[in-house]
Order: sequence, then structure tokens, then C-alpha cells
Amino acid sequence: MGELYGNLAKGFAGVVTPAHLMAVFAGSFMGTVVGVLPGLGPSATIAILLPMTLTMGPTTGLIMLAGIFFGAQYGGSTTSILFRMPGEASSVITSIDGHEMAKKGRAGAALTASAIGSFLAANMGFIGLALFAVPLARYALRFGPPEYFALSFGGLLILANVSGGSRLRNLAMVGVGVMLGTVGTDPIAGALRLDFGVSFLAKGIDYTAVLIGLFGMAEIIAWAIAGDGGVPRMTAIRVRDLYPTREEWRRMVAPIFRGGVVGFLVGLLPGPGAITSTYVSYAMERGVSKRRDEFGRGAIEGVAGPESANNAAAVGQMVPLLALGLPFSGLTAMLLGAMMMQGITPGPLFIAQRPDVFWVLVASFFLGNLVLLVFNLPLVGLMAMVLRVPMTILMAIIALLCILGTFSLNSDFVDVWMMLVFGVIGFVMQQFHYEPPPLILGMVFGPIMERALVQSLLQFQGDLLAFWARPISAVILSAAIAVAVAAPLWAWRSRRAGRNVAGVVQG
Amino acid sequence: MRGSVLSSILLVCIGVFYLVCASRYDFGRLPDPKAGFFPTIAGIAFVLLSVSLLLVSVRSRGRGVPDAEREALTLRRLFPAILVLGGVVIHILVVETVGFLLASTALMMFLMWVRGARNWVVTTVMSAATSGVLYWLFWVVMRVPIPRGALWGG
Repeated sequence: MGELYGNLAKGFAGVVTPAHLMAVFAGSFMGTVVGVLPGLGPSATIAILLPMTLTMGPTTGLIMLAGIFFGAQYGGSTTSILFRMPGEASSVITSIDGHEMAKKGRAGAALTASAIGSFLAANMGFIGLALFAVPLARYALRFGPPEYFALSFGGLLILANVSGGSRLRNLAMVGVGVMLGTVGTDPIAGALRLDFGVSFLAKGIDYTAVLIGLFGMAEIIAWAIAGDGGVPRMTAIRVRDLYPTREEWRRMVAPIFRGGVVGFLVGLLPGPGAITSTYVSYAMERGVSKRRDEFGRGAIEGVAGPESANNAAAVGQMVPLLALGLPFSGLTAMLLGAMMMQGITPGPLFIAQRPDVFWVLVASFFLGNLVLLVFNLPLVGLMAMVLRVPMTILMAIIALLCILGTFSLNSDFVDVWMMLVFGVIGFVMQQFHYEPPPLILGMVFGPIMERALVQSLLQFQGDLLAFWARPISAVILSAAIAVAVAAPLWAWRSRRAGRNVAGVVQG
Repeated sequence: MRGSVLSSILLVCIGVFYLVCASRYDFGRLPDPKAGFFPTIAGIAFVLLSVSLLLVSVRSRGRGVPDAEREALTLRRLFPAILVLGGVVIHILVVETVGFLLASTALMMFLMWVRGARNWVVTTVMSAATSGVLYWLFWVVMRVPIPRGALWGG
């Protein structure tokens, strides 16, 4: 424990430099603004701003991106509560009771519950990160190529079961991502493949350009068609409305604590932890509440619990990212990409080899969270003023940012063309209800999975059963396959039971 | 649910095309996998997956939201999107010649015009100011080599 305090103290000493403090403030501010903006999520923002952070140096750049990462979780709830317009999928649950509270004149209380809950739960998560990341990293030193293959393969299988939308469709998108990830150079032998003789494909497809296209440009195309007639206007929030009553304070304490614990644990697992955690937390709060009938009609527990959970999950996702080097969500995949571009390879050796970066990052998370609380309490009204800017102007600015952000990846317009093509593909995917996050995860996990699989086969001399001879890979692979087989069977049984009930009722 | 079947057929085609391309590379053997090993496995898995998706889509035809109840994407509805994409394409083509500031100001004005903005003073000021801020941020602060325009000697 003494070592932990010492490391944290060093981290705080490292973060208190003008450049790092500026990065904390700028990242938190931008993240909050982006969270408030409808449509454009933190993934696209990180993707757009990623090239900008490359010029800042590793620690400063990562602090800024982490600020955006956490800030977006805060900002997303603002539009959910005020307009029932979730900025992010992880704020969908908040919009149910949050907006009902707003309709009853308790918008301030809901926003405060969200901000305080996010702050406290994220801090619980940081304590978990500081305590468990190092032991997990030490344990992870036992991880070799077979374990990495099991984790990445299992992660993709499980992800398809926990993501929103159809499981088969999500798996198909994962497959498209994996296939796109194979374009360019074979990761082991370095042989060119699937480049069709086109020089720019030889270096592979940059997933940042794909991401900006699928999220940002696709959104602009959709806006061009749908227009902005349905976007509601912002109404003023009085300062005195920001504070909950004593009864509301009392009711939000336990949900914040439960949401923090559940969120952190869900965040450790593969899949969209921030989104999943809000559903788990909401179900849990409704299950334990004495006021179950208030849920869906403005229960503050329905805001405090899920909002705490998604922030704690965002921190929980940092544990596998920093300790194992494995991104278990699209967002952390972006952060992994950012780290690798900065020359930092997260993984079992990261904490041991770069304690300077790790502990400064953890300290910056604490500080960023405090900054976010400051932004999100008194400045909430000001933040939401962004929505007063007409969508016509906002979308035109976003279009320029998409172009400029993609160009600055490699100072090459080939990337911009690629982004444009994937913007059209993203729009088509929207029309056919295919989700882009699994595609991005497939692109990120695919090369990791291929490298680990090939290295394992070389190591085992082609013996596939050897994956089951090692305890960690055996457990992970068995669990993933069990979930992959059980989930469709469970869904089929539920559908069948539903049809039987309907048949009895009709009969 | 015709769209669902159509998209599944498209995925099957993509999978088959990918598999054919992947099969041109050396597969190797299990103890010694080569460049075509993983793509071939990924291609086979994807084709199987997309065929399953197609079968499910065909079986579930008639359930869910009928296509007729959705607002169809006619060429007329798509027209603003085509204009937006055209604007971006022209921007990419001319930006190295006319420079980022001019091309971006023009693109932003055009995008706003497409969505109905007709106040030229506001759109011009807004577009020029935004382009200027982005130029300053990326070029001056972040030193990203933004094209300054061959016409102006950039």
C-alpha cells in the first residue's frame, strides 16, 4: 500500500506541469462539448483529434485523449436528460428517468445526480485501477501468444453477444473488420497480400480513417438527407435548479456506490462495458428499489446508478488496456491506437517499463475527473448552449474536421479518399441497421488475433489441441465458445416459449 | 425485410470475393502458416456467417417493419447527400491548388447552402472564421502541413 501511495504521489507530481494541466483541461472540456453534441461520439472525436495529439509527446497527448474519453461520458448525459437525446449509447438508459425528471422540473437534480455519480464512481474505478492494474499486469506476464489468441478470439465472440442489435449482424461486421485488417502486409513474414497492386494498400488500411468515415462522414451524409428540423432548442437552466433536495441526495448514495462497483467489474470484460453496465445497473436498481413503480417516471436512482456505472466502466476498461494491451471496446481501441502511434505499447511490461507514463496517467484521470465535475455542475447551462448553434453550422464544421483530421494522419489525401468511401459505406450500413463499432473492433483485434494464432501454431508445431493444454487459454476459449453457443440457444428457447404462450392465449 | 436479404446477399458476395483473393496466397501448413493462412480461414468463416445471415433474413421475411412503411431513399431524397459528397470530392481535388483556407471556406458555405442557409453574410463570415481557426489550430499550433495552395506559392 505504501508503494501505491508513493507511485500515486509521483504521478501527481508528474501531472502538475503546465503542459499536462493544459492537456487535462483541454481534453476534459472538448470531451464534454463532444458529449453534448448529438451524433458525434467520443470515438469519432478521438479519431479526429488523434493526429493533433501526436505532436504533443506521449504523456501529454494521452492525458488529453483520456480527458476526451471521460469527458464524453459526462457530456452525453446532459442532452439525454434535457432533450431525451442521448449523445452516446451509454446515455440511453439515463434518458428514461432523467428526462422524466426534467419534465417535472427536476432537470438540475438529475444533472447533479449524473455529475456527482459519475465523479464518485469514476474515482472508485481509479482506486480499482491503481490497486489491481499492477497485480493484473504481473499475472498477465504469464500470457503468451496462445492466451492472447484466446483473449482476442473470445473477446470478439462475446462482444457479438453483448452488443446491441442482432448477434449475427454484429458478428458479420466483426468479420468485415477482421478481413479489412488483413489487407497490406502479413504480420509475421512481412509478405504483401490483398493489396491489388495498389501502393497505398500495401501499408494496410488505417482504421482511424475508417472510423472517421463510418462515424463522422456517415453522420453528415445522414444529416444532409434528414435535415435538422427535428433538433430541439435549448432552454435556460437556473442555477438554483442544479441542486437536489435532501431526500434526493439520500436516495442517490447507494445507487452511486452499486453503480460504481458493477460498472468497474463490467468494464473489465470484453464488450461495450460502458453501455452494458448502464443496463445492468438500471436492472439492479429497479430490482432492489422500494419505489419500483417510480422507475420510468422519474426515479433519481435510475439516473444516479447507470451514470455512475458507465463512468466506472470507462475506468474499468482501462485495466485490460493498460495491463494487457487489449482494447475491449471501440473507444479503448482508439486509445490503444493513440498509444502505439506515440511509441507506447501497453501490455504486461508497460507498467514495469514506463511507470512514469502509467502513474502520471492515473493521476491525470483523478485530476481530469475533478475538472469534469467543475465543468458539469456550474457550467452545465453554458455547455448545453452549443446546441443553440444551428445544426447546419455544426455539421459543416464537423465535415471540415473530418477532412482535416483524416488528412493530418499521414498528410496524405489518400486517407481522406478512404475516409470518404467509408463514410458512404457507413451510411449504407446505417440504412441496413449494421453497427459500425464491431467492424472497428474486428479491425483492431484481427491483426492481434492473427499474429497470436500464427505464433502459437509455430510454437505448438500445428497442434490445435495445445490451446486446451494451457489453463488460461483453455478456460477463456471454453467460456467464449460456451457463451457463443448458449446465447443463440437461449434466444431460440425464449422465442419458442413466447410462441407457445401466444398460442395458448390465442387458443 | 427485402433490405435485410439484399444486404445479406451483398455480404455473401463480399465474402466470396475476399475468399477468392485470399486463396491466391500461400496457405502453408498448420505447423508453418504462410501469408494466405489467416485470410483464407477468415474468408471461409465470413462466407459461412453471411450465408447463415442470409438464411435467417429469408426465413424472417414478412416479420418486423415492412419496407413499404419506411420512407424510401429515392434519388430526390438522396440529392442533398450527393451534393455534400460532391462538395467534399471537389474540395479534396482543388485544395492543393487553391489552398486550405479558400477551399474550406467555400466548402463550408456550400454545405450550409445545401441545407438551406441563404444568409450570405452569415455563412461567409462563419465559414471564413471557422476555416481560419482550424487553419491556425492545425498549421500554426500543431504544425500539420496543411496545403496552402500552389496558386499562392504554398
